[in-house]
Amino acid sequence: MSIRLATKLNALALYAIAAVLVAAFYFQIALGELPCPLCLLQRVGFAALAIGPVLTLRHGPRPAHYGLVIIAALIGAGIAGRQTLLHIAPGDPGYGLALLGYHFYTWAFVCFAVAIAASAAMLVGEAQFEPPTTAVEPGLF
Amino acid sequence: MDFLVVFLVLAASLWVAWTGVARIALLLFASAMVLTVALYLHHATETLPLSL
Repeated sequence: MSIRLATKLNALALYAIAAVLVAAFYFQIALGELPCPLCLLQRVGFAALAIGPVLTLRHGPRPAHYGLVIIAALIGAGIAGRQTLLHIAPGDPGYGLALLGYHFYTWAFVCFAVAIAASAAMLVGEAQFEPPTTAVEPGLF
Repeated sequence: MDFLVVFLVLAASLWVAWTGVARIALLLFASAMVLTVALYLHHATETLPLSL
C-alpha cells in the first residue's frame, strides 16, 4: 500500500468519525436524545479514534498511529459492550432510540470493531511505512 | 465537569497532533485514555435504573 493511498484512507476515516459524531449531535439536539454517561464515554472513544489518522495525515504513516486507533477502539468497544450487555435481557426495550433495529450503543460496538479490523488491515500494507526513496531503475550495466 | 475535562484533553490532543509535536499528542492521548477508564470505572459502580 502506497503512502498516498494510506493518506487517502486515513482522511476517509476522519470523515467517517466526524459523520458519526455529527449524527450523535443531531439525535441529541434535533430529536432530544440525551446521552447517558456511557454514551458520552463512547463519544470520547470516537474522538480518540481520530488522533491516529490526524497524526498519519500530518506526520506520515507509522505503525504506532494505528496502534493508537486500536487502543481507543478497544476502550470504546469495552464501554459499548458493557452498555449492550446491560440491556441484553429478553424484554428489555433498551436505552433510547433505535436505528435500523439496533440501538446506538450496539452500532457503536460495531463501529469500534470495524475500526480495529481496518487498523489491522492497514498494518498489513507495510510499504507505507518505508521511507520514500528515489528508486534507481536497473539498467543494462 | 469531569466529562468536560476529558473532551478538552482530547481536543488539545487533536490540536497538538495537527499542529505540533507528535510526542506531546501521544502524552495527551494517553492521559485522556486514563481519564476515560477512570470515568468508566466510576460510573460502572453506579446503580443503573434498568427497565426490568
